Amino acid sequence: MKKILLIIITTFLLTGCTSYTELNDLGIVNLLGIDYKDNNYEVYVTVMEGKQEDGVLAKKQSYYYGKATNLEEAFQQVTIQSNKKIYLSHVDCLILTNNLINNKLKETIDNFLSNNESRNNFNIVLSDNLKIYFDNNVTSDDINKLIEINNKESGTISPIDFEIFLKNLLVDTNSYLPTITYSDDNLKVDGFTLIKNYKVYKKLDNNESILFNLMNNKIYHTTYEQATIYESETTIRTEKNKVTMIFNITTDNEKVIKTKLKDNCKKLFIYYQNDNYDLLKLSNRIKQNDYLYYKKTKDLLSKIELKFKINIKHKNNYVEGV
Amino acid sequence: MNILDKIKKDTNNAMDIIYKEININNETITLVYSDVLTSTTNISEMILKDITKLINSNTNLNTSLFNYFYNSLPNPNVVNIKDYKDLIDKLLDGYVIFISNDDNYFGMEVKANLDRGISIATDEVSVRGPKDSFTENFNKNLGLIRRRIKSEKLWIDIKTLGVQTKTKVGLLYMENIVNDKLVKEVNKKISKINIDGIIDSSYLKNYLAEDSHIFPTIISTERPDLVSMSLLEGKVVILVDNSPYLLILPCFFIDLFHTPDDYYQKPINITFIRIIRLCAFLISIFIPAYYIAITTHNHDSITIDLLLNFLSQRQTVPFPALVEALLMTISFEILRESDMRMASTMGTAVSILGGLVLGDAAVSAGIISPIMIIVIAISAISGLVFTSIELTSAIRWWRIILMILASVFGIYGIFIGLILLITKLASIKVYSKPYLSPFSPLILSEQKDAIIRINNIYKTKYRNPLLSNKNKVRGRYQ
Repeated sequence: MKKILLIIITTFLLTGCTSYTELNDLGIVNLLGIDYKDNNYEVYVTVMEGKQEDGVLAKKQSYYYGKATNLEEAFQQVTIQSNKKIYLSHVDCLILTNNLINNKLKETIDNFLSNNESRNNFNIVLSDNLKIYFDNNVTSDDINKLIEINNKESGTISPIDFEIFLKNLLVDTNSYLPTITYSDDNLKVDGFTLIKNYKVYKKLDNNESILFNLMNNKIYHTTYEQATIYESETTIRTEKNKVTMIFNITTDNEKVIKTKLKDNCKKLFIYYQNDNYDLLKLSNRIKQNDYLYYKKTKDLLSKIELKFKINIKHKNNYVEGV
Repeated sequence: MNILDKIKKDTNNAMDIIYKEININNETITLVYSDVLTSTTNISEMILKDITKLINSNTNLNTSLFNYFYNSLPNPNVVNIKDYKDLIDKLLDGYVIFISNDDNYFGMEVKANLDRGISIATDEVSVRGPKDSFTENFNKNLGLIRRRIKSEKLWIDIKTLGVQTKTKVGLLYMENIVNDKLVKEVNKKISKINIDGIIDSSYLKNYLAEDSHIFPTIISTERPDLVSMSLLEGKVVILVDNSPYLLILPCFFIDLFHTPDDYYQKPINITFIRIIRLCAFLISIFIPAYYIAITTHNHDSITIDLLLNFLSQRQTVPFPALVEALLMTISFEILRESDMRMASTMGTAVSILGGLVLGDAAVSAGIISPIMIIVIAISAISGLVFTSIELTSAIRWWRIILMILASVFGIYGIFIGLILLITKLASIKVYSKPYLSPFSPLILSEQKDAIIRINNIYKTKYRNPLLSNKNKVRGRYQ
């Protein structure tokens, strides 16, 4: 009986020893922006709050700012202001700046990986001038929906989450990020920014972004050089250094697709190939398919021969048919 | 000291013991009986009427008055009494004792009907099946079983237990089905019982249970159909005088999820209901713990919308989630207990008061969050799905244990609790048989009537091998 009493009392006393946090003490972060200026991290945080108003849940968000030489301290400053424990598990969107990527990308990634409360499935975007987003109460939903809609309708962008971003970096230290801007009270997408060796490398314009998405099989619907692509499916086959990219495209303009699109895709790839940047991570595909060949071939990227095969499916013009 | 004086002395001249002297032809015979245990109508009809007739007829008896009564009384239950101890036992068991001048005696049963009649089962309500239930009368209860099983192989071993109460206890089993080892074991346990009195069959539970487990290992039932079914399965039934609840043993864990009504409805519907019962068991134990875990440790396991909803509801609550949950659980248990003990006329008042206090007022005062009321209510209602009070109590204990574990370790704690629960269940042995049977060990033939009930009754023709080692096929006897 004494043992049982001791266990019961101890369990009550142990409450709080582990990660016990009452809901009311949580600062649930939804949108997070990190910048790096003058050797200081700048953290912009949107904390979500819920309040019952006439029996209905009213969501409110508060914006906090922290600045310090390391990321932990910057978050601590936010905690001091909000009187709540900063909780990163429900971050839906992370905005990074060019400065941060060029200076402290590795450290930032390490910070997220070492935080056991942080998930890896939040979207990452690139932008500058973070303050304007938080001053104008931009939410993570606004950014994520903007990217999602543009991905499905214009094809100039596609979302990337932290895990994929990290995987890309781990393959060959290169990755990409969707870029957004905020001007004239409007959020806009601005194509992709390529990252090479943990630094910002180059920016793709809208047409290049569409081609990049097309080659990565991330196009749902887009318009390219007067040709509307209604559906698209891309498969890649590799045989040693020979890579065949097969596009199955439903379009209303076969000519543009078969000439311009094909040529421009090739040009885009070769441009980056010459600059020793594996835009489509084809070396990694060859490695996965034929490891022996990959191992014995030096400077594989320069030896890759990319061919395109385009299967066109015509979009019926029912109006004309009638 | 003659025997009458001895009775008077030993019973402290109890007011309910009547001594009636009858003089015929200079012979005296004394009728001793308890006024409260015997039927005065029966005494008048069977004894006094005969005596009056004898007096009026002025008949000269060829034999002694004692012998005359012994041979001519119109009652099949005239018994010889062995000794003084037997005399007292019979006197206090509703017999009239005939004592002659020379201290010869015999008894005649004229028990008063102190029982209520056979009524509808109230604790284990029957939807489609028979409605009758056991009463406090041993013979009536035995009759309700015999009426269903008209077999000479339904055997009963009678024992008298309780030094003071001398309660009749019967051990019932189907001789051609039951495992003899089980009968021996139960008989052995019963013979070891040494107790002042047995007021109800529940008194025997502690003696018959193998070990002190929170989970029930003996079923207590008021339904004759369940008893009959269990006997035909090869189980042993304990019948106790003055108790409307019969004990069925052994009881496996899965038996707690079955009801007699399961066999009166379509199997496919019963399969669904059994799955619901299993879910109710899990919900009842785990839901409050899961709520505590997600609001105190594992906030990442729910969506942000739900999290904000919970957060907004808990803003005014001054207690930690565990204290809030314990408060609600204790309040509910108090309400349930008072509702159960209170007279039915006041039960409604308790329900209204409890409902208002636990519901609207507690939320308005900011003591309890609405979501906690929902969580505890779902958990409590799920626990009430089962008719076994012992199972409901076991669920209550495990619910609290898991709530504490969840508040300390979160979802990790719930898994620790789940492992402990399964380990505990798997370690229970009921008369050397595993409690989790037929799942552990897996008995394939029994799976057809465990959770899923097979549509084709011919597929369930084999009896449970753990319960029966003879005539294993139902309906086929050697």
